[in-house]
Amino acid sequence: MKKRSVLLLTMCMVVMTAGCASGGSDAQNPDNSESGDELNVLIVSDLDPLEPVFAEYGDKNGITVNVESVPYAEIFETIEVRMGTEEDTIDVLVADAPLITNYTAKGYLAPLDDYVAEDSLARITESSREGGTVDGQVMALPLYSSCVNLYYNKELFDERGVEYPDYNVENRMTWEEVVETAQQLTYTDDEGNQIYGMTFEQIDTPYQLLPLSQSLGAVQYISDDQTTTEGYTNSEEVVEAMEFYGNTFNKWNISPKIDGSESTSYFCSGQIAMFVGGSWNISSFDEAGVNWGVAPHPYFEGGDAVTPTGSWYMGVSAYSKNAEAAAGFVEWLTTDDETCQKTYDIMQNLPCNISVLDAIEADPENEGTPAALNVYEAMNTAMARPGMVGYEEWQSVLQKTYSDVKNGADPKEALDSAVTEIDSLIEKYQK
Amino acid sequence: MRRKNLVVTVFLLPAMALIIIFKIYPIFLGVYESFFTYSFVGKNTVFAGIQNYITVFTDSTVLNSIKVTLIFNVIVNPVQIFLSFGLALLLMVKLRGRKFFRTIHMIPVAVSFTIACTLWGVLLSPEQGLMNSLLNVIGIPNQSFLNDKDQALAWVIVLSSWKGLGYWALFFITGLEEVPQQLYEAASLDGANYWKSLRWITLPQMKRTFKFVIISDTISNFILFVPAYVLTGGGPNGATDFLMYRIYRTAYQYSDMNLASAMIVVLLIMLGIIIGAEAFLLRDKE
Repeated sequence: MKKRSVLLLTMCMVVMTAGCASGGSDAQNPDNSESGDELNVLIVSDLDPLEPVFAEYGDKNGITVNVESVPYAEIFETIEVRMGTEEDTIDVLVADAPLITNYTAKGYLAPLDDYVAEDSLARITESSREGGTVDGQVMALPLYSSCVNLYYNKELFDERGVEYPDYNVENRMTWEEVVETAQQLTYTDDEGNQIYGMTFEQIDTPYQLLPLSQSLGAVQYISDDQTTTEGYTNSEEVVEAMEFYGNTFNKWNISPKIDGSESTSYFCSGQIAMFVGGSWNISSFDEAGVNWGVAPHPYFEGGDAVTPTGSWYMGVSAYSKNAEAAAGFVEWLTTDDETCQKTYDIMQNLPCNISVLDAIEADPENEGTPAALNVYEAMNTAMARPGMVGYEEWQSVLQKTYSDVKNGADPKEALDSAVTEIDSLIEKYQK
Repeated sequence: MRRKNLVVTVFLLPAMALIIIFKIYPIFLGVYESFFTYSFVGKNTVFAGIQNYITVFTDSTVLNSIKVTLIFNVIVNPVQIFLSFGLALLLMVKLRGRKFFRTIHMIPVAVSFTIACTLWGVLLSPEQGLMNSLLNVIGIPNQSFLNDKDQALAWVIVLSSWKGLGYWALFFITGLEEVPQQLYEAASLDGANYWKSLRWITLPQMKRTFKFVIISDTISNFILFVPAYVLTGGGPNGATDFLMYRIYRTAYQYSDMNLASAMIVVLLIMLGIIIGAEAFLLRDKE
C-alpha cells in the first residue's frame, strides 16, 4: 500500500510539474471576453514600438486592443504552447514568414480570403502576398519585410585609424575583408574594456546565418519532397559557412560569445565596431548616441551577395471567437497605405506596401540611407528562408546547432547530428 | 463507527475528487494518448500501438536525455542530501546568532527557481560575469561555464544544490529537533563523543526523515526543468538536455503530444522503479 502511495505521489508531482510548465504563459494572458469589442493581439517584443498604431485602431473603431508582447526568444514556443492547446484567448498573432506553412498545417491560422478585400491585397507587393499564401489561401498578411545591413561605429574606426566600409553596393565588403577589418578593431581600450570587431545581431538564428551558406552557393536545405535534410542542411556550403561562423568566436575571436538579445546593447555601448543587423535598431543606436554608418551586407569572395528577407506576418487565430473583427484589424494594419506609412516611420523596416515603397524610392533625401539600400537589396540580393512544413523543428534544432558551433563544437559533426534530429522530428508530417 | 466513517468520507470526498480529476485522470489520459499518433496527412489521430515507445528507446536524442537525467540524479541527489544534512547539523549548533544563520540559509529557498537561474546566468556570463572577473583576479582565464559542454551539467548541479540545500535542510532540522535529548545525555555519560553520538543516535533516529528527503529530492530532481529552460536550452551539445525539458519541447515546440505522453510514461516508470528501490532499501526492519 505504501509503495502504491509513493508511486501515486510521484505521478502526481510529475503531472503537476508538466501542468505548471504549460500554464506559465496562461497566467499572463489577458482575460479575453467573447464580445466583439475586444481584440487580443499576441506580438513579439520587436513590435512594441507599434503599440500606438494598434491603439489607434482601437480608438477609431471603439474597441479595446489588448496587446501581449513576448520576447523574441520565447515567441515561437509561446505560439506552440498556446495555439497547440487551442486557446481562444488570442485573436491575432504574429507569424514569422517561413512558419506560415507550418502553422497552416497545424490548423493554427484561419484563412483570410473571406474577410480581406481584393483592393487591400493589391496594395502590397506580390512576393509578400505569396509569402502568406498557402495552397491558394491567404493565411497571413505581412507587417513589413526586412533586410540586414552592415552598421559600423565611426568612432571606433577613427580610433584605430581604419577606413570606413563603403556604402556603394559595387564596393560591397567580402566576409574575408570583414574579418581582416574586425581583427584590427578587436582590442582592449584604455579603460580596460574589450572591444570586438563584429557581431551578428540575431546570433544563432537561421534568418541571419543562412545568407552565409547561400552566398557560398547553397540553395536548398530540405529535399523536394520535404522528407529529409540529409545532404542539404549539412551540405558542403553549409558546413563551410558554419566553420566561418565558429571561427569568428573561437579562432579569430572577433565576436563576443553572447546571445542575440545582448548584441544590440553591445553595439550601442560602443563595445562592437561592426554590427550585421537590421534597420529596426537605428532608433536604439540614435538613443544611445552612437555615431554610426551603414554599408551593404557582406558576401564571400567569389560567391553571391545574398541578404536575408521576410519578416513578421499577422494572422488570425483559427480559435478566435472574433475572427471577423480580428481580420479587419489585420487588413487595416498590413495593407492600409496610411497605416503602413506610420509603421514604416516608426520601425524603418522595408515595407511591403507599394505606395510606401514608391515614396521611399522617389524621395531624394533617402539617398545614402539604409532605406534606399534596403530597397536595392530587396530588389537584387534578398533570398527567403526555406518554406517548409517542419520549419519550426528545423529552426529550433539549427539554432541549438549554431549555438554549439559558437561554443566550439565541430561544424561538420554538429550539422550531421542536427540533420539526424531534424529528419526524425519532421517524419511525423509524412504520416 | 459507521457514522464516523461516513463523516471521514464526506470530508475527504472534495479533495479526492479534485485529485482524481486533475491528477489521476491526466495520468491515465497520458498513458492512453501514448498509444496514438496524429496524422498530419489524414488530419486525424490514429492508433500507433507501441510505436511511440519504440521511438523513445531508439531516438538518440531521447536516449541522450535519459542518460543526462540519470547522470545528473546519480550526482546531485547524494550531494544535496549530504550537504543539506551537514547544513542542518551546523544550524543546530548552539551559538550566538543561530537564528540569523537559520534565516539567511532560507534565502535561496525564498527565491523562485526562475529568478535563481537568471541570477546564476548573470554570475556565470562568459563575457561579463562576476565569476570570470574573480577567476581573472587569481590568474585563471575566462571560462565558458554553461556554454562549455564539459562544465554545463556541473554548474546546473551547483545551482540546483544552492537552491535546494536550504529547503531539504529544513526537514533535517525538524528531524534533529525531534531526537530525544536524553539519548544524547545517556550517551555522553557513557563517554560517547560527538561523532559516535551522530553515528549511533542521530542517524538511526533520523531514518524516517532521510527516507522522506531522499525520495522527495529524487522526484524533484528527476523532473527538473527550469535550468534547461531558462539557462542552457538543453545545450551545449545536449549536455543539459534533461528528459523533462525534452518532453516539454516535444509536446509544445514540436507538436507531438503523443510521443511526449509516451516519454512521460517512461519517466514515470523510471521514477517509480527508482523510488521503489529507495523505499525498499530504507524500509523499517523489524
